[in-house]
Amino acid sequence: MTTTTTARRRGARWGAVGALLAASLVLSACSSQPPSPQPDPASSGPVLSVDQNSTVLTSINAVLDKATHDLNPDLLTSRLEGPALTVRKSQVSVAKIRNSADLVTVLPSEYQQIILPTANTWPRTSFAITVTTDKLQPQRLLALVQSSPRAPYKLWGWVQLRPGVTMPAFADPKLGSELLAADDKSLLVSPKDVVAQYADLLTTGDQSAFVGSFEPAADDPFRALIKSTRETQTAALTGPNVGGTYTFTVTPTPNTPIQAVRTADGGAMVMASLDAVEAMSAVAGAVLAPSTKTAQALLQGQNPTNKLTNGFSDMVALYVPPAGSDQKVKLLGYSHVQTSAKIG
Amino acid sequence: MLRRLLGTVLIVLGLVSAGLGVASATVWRPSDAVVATAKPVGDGTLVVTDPGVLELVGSDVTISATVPDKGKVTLAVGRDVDVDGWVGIDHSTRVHGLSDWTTLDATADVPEIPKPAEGQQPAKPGTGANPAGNDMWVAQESGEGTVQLRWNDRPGRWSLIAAGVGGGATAPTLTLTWPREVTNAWLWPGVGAGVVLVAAGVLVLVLRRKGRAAPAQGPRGDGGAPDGDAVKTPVAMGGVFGTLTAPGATPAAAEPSADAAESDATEPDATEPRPSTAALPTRSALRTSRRARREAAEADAAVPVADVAAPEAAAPVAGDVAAQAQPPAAAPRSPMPMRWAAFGRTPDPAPAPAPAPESAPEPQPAAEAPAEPPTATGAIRMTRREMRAQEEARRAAEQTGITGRLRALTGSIPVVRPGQPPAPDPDDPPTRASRSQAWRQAWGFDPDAAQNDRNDAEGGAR
Repeated sequence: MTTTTTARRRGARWGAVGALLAASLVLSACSSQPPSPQPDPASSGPVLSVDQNSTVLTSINAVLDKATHDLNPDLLTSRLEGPALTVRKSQVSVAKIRNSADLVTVLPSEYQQIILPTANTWPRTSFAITVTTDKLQPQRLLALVQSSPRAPYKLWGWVQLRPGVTMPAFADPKLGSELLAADDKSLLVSPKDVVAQYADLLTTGDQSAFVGSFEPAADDPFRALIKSTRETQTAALTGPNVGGTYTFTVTPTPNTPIQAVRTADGGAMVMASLDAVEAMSAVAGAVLAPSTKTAQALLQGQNPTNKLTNGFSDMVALYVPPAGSDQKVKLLGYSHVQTSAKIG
Repeated sequence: MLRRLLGTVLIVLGLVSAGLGVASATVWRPSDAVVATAKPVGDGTLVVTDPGVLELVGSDVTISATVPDKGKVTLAVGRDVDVDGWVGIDHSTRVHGLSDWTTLDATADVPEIPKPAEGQQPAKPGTGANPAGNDMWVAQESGEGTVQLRWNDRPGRWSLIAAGVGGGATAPTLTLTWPREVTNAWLWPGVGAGVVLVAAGVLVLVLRRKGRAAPAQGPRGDGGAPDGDAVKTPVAMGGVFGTLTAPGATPAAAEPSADAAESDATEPDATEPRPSTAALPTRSALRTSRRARREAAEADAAVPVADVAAPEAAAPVAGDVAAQAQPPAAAPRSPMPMRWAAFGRTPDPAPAPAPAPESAPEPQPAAEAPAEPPTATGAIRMTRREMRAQEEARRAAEQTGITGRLRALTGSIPVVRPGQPPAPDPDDPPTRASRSQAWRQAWGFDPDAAQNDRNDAEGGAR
């Protein structure tokens, strides 16, 4: 009896021993196949992290500060492009002429909101909204563009937000917002059309055919500003003894992209650059002196005549509701800076 | 015979298993790092990794890129779409993964050049472009000759771009180093299995011995055999693990008794509790004897005449404690021969004559009590016993010396004194009550007893 049990037990034990030996052999033969890459699945995300974007903004601010401090507009090209470069270059040049940076737009370096895109292609545009500073600077919306993969992000444009504006909601910067093409069809008006229509609205005032799509002129501070300027100047120039003319024409800046980013409600924020030309003339012999310090600086050394042309580089940010919405296109902010002046 | 073979084989296998387990964590322990290198392929100056390559082995990777002749080199990590966008139509070496544990799988990548717009020149791939400073990178490093960059994986698809920079640049040689988590996964299973196997082997051998010992019991008729066996099995079982501790325990147990013996020798006044406690192979023996000494001293201080009642009260108790102590006293010594037997060194003539008696004699003298008047009157019988115990303790102490240890090592049994069968004191057979009382007293569990002691000591004035 003892022998049989032992035999059986021994068999089991030998089995266990064999298993152990096998395990030991497997252990010693541990040179297995190397793993193959298993990347995370592709997912849409912001092109930059908030930290990276902060670095970009810091770098841009450094360039802005240095150019303003040195009164050297040439420094700007490393981090500015498009309308922002045009405006800033002019401002720094004017500051250099006037030897004062008073009229250079202050761009606060603290940000209330960051809007990052999800694009996998170029150009890419991100936005930043500055805080209200204690120096009563209005909030500003900045647009930053990376035009190609090897290019840095550059400040493309900025507008000052209209006072008390309610900004549309955007996706969280950790998720990223969709960038829209200029001809996007999902909006009440495509970005390209809405910019052209707004330019027309500024040029022709309430007679524009597109008035219906936009909020009333009285609510729009930029249109109100242009309207009042136009009325004042026209009254002055077309007076009985002056016999002059006044025209104010706004067109979308040629060869300049339109930046459009999706808002949370399916609409879009559209930012575009506009060229405004203010042409004034009076009877021969009259003298039209530049009225602003900027114009004076730009016309430094020239004798005023009876003709004067002021060029403005304007930027606007518009909220465009989604297609089918009964909301109106609304101005979010604008920038109206004289960048050129011409006698004659 | 088969059992013996099986037991031996099991033990050997157990040792081998434990050895393999240890070896897996020492000599065979895999390298702490995986180092893989990619040599550039093709004519580009860029080396780009596919997403997932950087975290191929571990999340923490040290990237190193080397170009000859102290050329400029840049390392950068970015999202895969950003890196691909940056590379554009430039030629590059594309790293897809590991071809083996030390080589990265790299191929030349020559992207198609997109069709140019009407009237425009087709784009041409460039060389030597520097990715450094791009806003898209999340980590980057530039330098000359060799550049290193540490990268910790994070959620997302990340690619590495390594670029030889400048005119006439060559693509860098890329080395990725991952620290590898080396777990000693086989150490404890191996050692554990080894221990189990050795234990099983020993058990098999012991069972075999027992099986053989049982028939031998009849002819011998010793009566000691069953006893010895009863002790044997558990000891042998524990002996595998306790091999090293047992020899140490023997002297340790004996030392207190030697101590007590000494104190007895110097203070013959202290009466009978001590001889008994001296036989106790525990540390408490020392404590007890001290207490006894202290009490005795107190009593001495109080009344010059030694108290008779107290010793009497304690007398049977002490004897009982000794009697009780007998099995434990035998236990630590007996395993030695057993163990050797278990290992099969002395297979045939099992030294069955229980070694117990040899170590047991301590309490026996209680029985024979040749009178020899000590200092204290009325304690004659006890003092004889004490003297006897003292002598025994002395011998025990001798045993624990070099001879005792030698014996433990060799396992040979010294000449056994023609000892009497261990018999309890015939004069006063211990009662259950007195035994437990003695136990409580010895271990100080019984406050009443302590009280009584004190009373006795005080009552010595009676």
